[in-house]
Amino acid sequence: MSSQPTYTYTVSSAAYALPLLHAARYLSHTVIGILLGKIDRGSKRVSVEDALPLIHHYTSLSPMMEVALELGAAAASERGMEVVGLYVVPKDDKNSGLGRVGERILGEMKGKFDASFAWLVDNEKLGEGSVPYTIYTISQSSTSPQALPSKSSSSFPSPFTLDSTPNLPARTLQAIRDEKIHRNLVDFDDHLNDS
Amino acid sequence: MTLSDVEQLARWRRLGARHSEEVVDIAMRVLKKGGLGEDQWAIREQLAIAALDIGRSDVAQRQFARMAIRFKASPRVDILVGLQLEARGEFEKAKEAYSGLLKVSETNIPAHQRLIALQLNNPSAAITSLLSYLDIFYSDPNGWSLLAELYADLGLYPQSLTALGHLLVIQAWDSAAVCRAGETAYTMGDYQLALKYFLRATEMQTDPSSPGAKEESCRTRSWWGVKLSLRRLMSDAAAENDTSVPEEMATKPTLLQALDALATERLLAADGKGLSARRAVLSASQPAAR
Repeated sequence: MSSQPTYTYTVSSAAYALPLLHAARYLSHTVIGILLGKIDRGSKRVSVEDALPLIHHYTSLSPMMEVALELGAAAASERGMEVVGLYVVPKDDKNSGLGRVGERILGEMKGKFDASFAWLVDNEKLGEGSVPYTIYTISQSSTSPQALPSKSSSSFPSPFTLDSTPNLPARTLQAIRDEKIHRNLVDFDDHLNDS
Repeated sequence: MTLSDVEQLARWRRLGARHSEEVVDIAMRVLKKGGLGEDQWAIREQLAIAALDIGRSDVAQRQFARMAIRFKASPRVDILVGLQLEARGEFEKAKEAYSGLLKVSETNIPAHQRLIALQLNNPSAAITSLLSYLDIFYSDPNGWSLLAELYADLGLYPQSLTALGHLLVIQAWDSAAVCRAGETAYTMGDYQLALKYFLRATEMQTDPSSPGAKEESCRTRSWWGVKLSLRRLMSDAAAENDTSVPEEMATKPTLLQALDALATERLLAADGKGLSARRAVLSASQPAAR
C-alpha cells in the first residue's frame, strides 16, 4: 500500500534538470540538494520551481548540511519561495533507498512542511533516458519514507507532473553530453571554499 | 595563476585528483600536440584511467596498446589491465589479476588498493581489508581518509574521528582535514571538541601577513563550523551535551561570546554571493543576551 500525499505538484524544467547537472558536475560523489517552490496551502498545490545544489563532500557529516539548509531556506524566502523537498544522487548503485542521511533530512523537512518529498536518482534509468527519479514521501501513518509507485518512464509518478517542455529527459542528457553545461555549476560546498 | 595544460595534468597527478572528464579533454589535446618525449607515458596512463572512469573504453584501449608495446611485463601496466577488467564489470577476473600481482610482489601497493576498492560495495569487508592494509602501510593518507569516510557512512563517528587522527599525524599541515575532524566531532555531538578543531582550522587558514590573505578570507567553511558549534554550546540545551574535552580545557562562556562575535564578523567579511541570506541566518543565530 503506497503513501498518497494530498498535495499535487508541478515540476519545472529547471527543477527537473538541476539535480542531474549537479550529479554530472561531481560524477564520483554523492550529491545532495534542495528543491524550492511555491506552496498554495488552500488548493493544496505545490509548484516546484527551482533546485539549489548543496553538497558533494562528506555527505555523512552534518554541520555544513545544517548551514546549507538554513541558508537555502533564507534564500528561498528572499525569492518568495519555500523549501519543499530534497534530492539525493548516490555515487553508486547500491539500491538501498534514500539512505540514512536523506531519510533524516526528509524527516526534518516534514516537520516544517508536511508534504515535503525526496527525489532519489536511479542511475540506470538516467542512462536509458527515462525520468530517473524515485519519489519518497512520509505519509501521516508512518515515520519512514515510502517510494511512490511509478507507471511511466517518461513522466513523474502521480501526484507529480512534469513541465510540458517536450523531451525534457533526452534534452537534459544532451545538454550534459554535448554542451557540457554542467561544468559551470557551483554548489554550496564550492561557495564555502570561495565565497 | 593559470597553469598550462601539461602543468595542470601534472598537478592533478600529484594530488590524485579525479577530474576525469577534464583530464580526457586536456590530455587528448596535449598528446595530439606531441613533443612530450618520455613525459608522455605518465600522461597516457592518466588519460587511460580517466577515460575508463567516464566510460570511454575506446580511448583507454588505444593508450593501453601503446603502453604495452613500450613497457613489456610492467606491473604498472598490469594494474591498468586490471582497471580495464573492472570497467567492463569483470570483477572476479580483476580480483584474480590483482591477487596474481601480489603473489609476485607483496609490496605492490596499487594491487592492494584495487582489491580494497573492489570491496567498497560491502563497507564492513572493505573496512577490515583497509585496516590490515594500514597496519602495514601506515603512512598512506588516502587510506586513512577512505577509512574515515567508510566509518562515517556507517554512522560510526568515533571510529571515523580516530581514523582522521591518524591522517592528521601524517599530514599535519592539512587544514581541510582539521576542519573535517571538526565536522565529525560536531556530528557526534561533541561541540567543545568540534569548536577546538574548527578554530585550529581557521588559525591554519589565516595568515594576515601573507600576500594571499584576501583569497583566504573568502573561505568560510571553518568559520561556519565555529559559528554552529558556538550556537550549540550557548543554547539552553548546552548543559546536557557530553564532551570528551576535560573541563579545564573547555572553552568558557565569556570566550564563547567573544568568539561568536568574531565568527559572525568573519563570515560577513568574506563578502561574495548570498550576503543577504547569510545575514538573515547569522542574525537568527544570535543567542539571546544573558
